[in-house]
Amino acid sequence: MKYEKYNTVLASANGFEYSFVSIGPRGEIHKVVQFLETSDTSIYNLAFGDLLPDGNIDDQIKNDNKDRNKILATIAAIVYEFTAKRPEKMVFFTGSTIERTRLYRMALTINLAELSQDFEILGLNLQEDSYTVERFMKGKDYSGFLVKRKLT
Amino acid sequence: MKPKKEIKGAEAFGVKIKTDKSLDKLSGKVLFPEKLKEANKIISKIKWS
Repeated sequence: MKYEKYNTVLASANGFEYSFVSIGPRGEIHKVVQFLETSDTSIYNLAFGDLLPDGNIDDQIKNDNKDRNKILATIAAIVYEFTAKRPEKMVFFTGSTIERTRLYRMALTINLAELSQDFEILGLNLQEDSYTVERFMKGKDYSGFLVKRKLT
Repeated sequence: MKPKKEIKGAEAFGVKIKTDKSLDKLSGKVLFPEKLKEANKIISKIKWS
């Protein structure tokens, strides 16, 4: 990834939860990332949000800590870590809003050459009442994304 | 047959991963239930070609 990253990330023993601290003009904000098995056991959902001081989690908050790219690059490194341990699994992610999904598409697009060396990157298209899957293409909107490590 | 690729983790990008027991209390909990619900809804409707 082309961006600076937070260089220390904490992980739970089972490697499904990760956290790091975002540092910016709004102060220190604890971020938490979780991978959870979905109804398809070959696919894990990636989700992240803020760990609040009271222990609750907020995945809708926009805290504008001026480090968006650094956060996304750190999460990309976490995806590398998770999939290094489970290379046979796919990771699914989508934004909680259309704008966020577009942001993820842009991040994939900017880093596509590098990411494609290590991952199969797929985009999901909504067609009527189902989703088709295709190799990610630049400049195309998708409803969500799947990534899987390349093993050869 | 192609040789197996080296599987890089976060450290390849300068990110150090430290296991921290304080995160274990989150394990087993669904921290983002709405996102998981949405993911399951989408994944259940994937038509693999």
